[in-house]
Amino acid sequence: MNFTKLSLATIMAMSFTAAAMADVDVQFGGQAVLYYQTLQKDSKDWDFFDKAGSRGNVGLQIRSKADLGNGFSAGVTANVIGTAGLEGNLVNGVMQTASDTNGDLGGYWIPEAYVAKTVGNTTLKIGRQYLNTPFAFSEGWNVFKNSFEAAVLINQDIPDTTAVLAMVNKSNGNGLGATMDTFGAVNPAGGMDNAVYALGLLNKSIPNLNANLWAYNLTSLATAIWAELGYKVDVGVPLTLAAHYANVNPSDDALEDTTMYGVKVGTKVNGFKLSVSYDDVDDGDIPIHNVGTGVKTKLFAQQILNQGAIKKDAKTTQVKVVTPEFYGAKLIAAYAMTDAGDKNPMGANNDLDELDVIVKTKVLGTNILLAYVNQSYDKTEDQDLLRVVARYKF
Amino acid sequence: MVKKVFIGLFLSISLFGVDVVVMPNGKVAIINKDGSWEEVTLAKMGDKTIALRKNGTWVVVDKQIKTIKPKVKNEVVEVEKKQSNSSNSINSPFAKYIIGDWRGDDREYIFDKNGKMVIKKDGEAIKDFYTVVGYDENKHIIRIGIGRRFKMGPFSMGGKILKFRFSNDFKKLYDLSELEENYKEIELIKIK
Repeated sequence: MNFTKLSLATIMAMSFTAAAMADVDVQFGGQAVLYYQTLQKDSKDWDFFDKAGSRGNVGLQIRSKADLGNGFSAGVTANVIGTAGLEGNLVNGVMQTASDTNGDLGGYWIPEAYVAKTVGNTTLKIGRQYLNTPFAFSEGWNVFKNSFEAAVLINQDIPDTTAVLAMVNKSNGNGLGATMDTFGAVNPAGGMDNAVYALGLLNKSIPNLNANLWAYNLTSLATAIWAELGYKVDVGVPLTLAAHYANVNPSDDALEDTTMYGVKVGTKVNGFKLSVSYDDVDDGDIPIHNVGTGVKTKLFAQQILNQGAIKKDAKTTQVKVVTPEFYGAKLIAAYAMTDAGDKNPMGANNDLDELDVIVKTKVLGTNILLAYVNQSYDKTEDQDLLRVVARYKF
Repeated sequence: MVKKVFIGLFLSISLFGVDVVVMPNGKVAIINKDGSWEEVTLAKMGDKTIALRKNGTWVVVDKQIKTIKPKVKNEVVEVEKKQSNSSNSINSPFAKYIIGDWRGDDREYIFDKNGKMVIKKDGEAIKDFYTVVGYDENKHIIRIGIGRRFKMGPFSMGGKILKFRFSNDFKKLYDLSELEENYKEIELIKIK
């Protein structure tokens, strides 16, 4: 299906045409977003709030989901993005955009347009959709999440187990200034067969233990596995123990395998959440990251900006504190120290310390996120980031 | 003479003509000064309209006031009536299992027997109405509609629908709202 030529009205009408005879349940929702960030970087002579180092967007999302009866459901989401003229005065770029047809830094795209059918304990969902697997997932850090064109089968016939089988063809990527209405092959190396095939088994047979195993095949590129365990126990205070392991095996024999392992311990004391984690990614050729975007990772130590440093030839330790709500606001502080090897993407042996301080609150029904990030590199320049995101969900 | 008395009486009564209210169901009533009302029957006397009381007396009608039928309110009432009588209502034996306080690691749902609920998630508590949209006793699945919903022909709209599955002993509730996107069920335990 060629989505680029469909008008918004046509797309929105699609989800309501299927089952005119049965009773149809329709849910609407969405969000309005204001996103602004500014960088301080000495080498570029950027101070906070200088137009040169700042980016911003305004966005509107309308989401609809319809239960069409007889086990059928459908969903359509439209994102509209623009700058509200911010580029004239406050910012020099955008966080996301859509195809620039009128010389404007904005447009719209359809991140979701799918039909699903449920029979017994099995659901088949086909079309444009959000995903959440360790190597292909929709990231929530930008104005709107990226999405994929995929067919996903979810089955719960095995007791206490959710089985997921996915064939993922395309993704619209993500990143600074990303053009979000362009969906490209997730695995271009695959040629005619450029899909990513994924099989996941998520089990909770043992009380308080979640065990997940994922296997991937990227034709002509690599195969990969991801295993994780999460265990909860009460030792006077609630304790969460987690561990994960991943291996990426390139199809090209000339390339090296990549192996990752990580552990995390978390607890909650007097409403404060505390955690310590460690991730070790060796110097294999393919990094541990989202194949749909090449940006974020599912590593425990993933913070606001450190993905480039932690995904390959890196050992990262993170300490994190989340406070309870005080006067309607919650504070998150995370500090990650990355010991970089000589094949690290941010530069050979270019160690990184990143401090994130985030405040989350709600004002007049709007979720507000204020974030300050300080990155201190061993061999390259430090930088600081301020980010403000306001989301009104309806 | 008698005729003059009657005319005089009629004229004097006609000076004290009343307004009557015609109700949506067609019945007619006089509103008394003390706020009470009594049903009357309209009749024509010459070129005048009179209101016949049940005690046998009558008064001339000055004005007939038609009431406005509150359509929207009646339809909402009708939907609520339908719901309370249908097998999908909270009063059905299976649906009643949802009533209680269900708590998970990152969320809590509190359903009361009067159709009100509280959702606690991400540090905030949201109060709203809920209805039982449907359930499948064999699969132990129940669908809850949150917020104001309205019906237009075959379409029901508004609010949000959450899907849950009970454990076999009805002591646990699994939130299935993230199953299609995040492939997980969120376990909630009944604490009250």
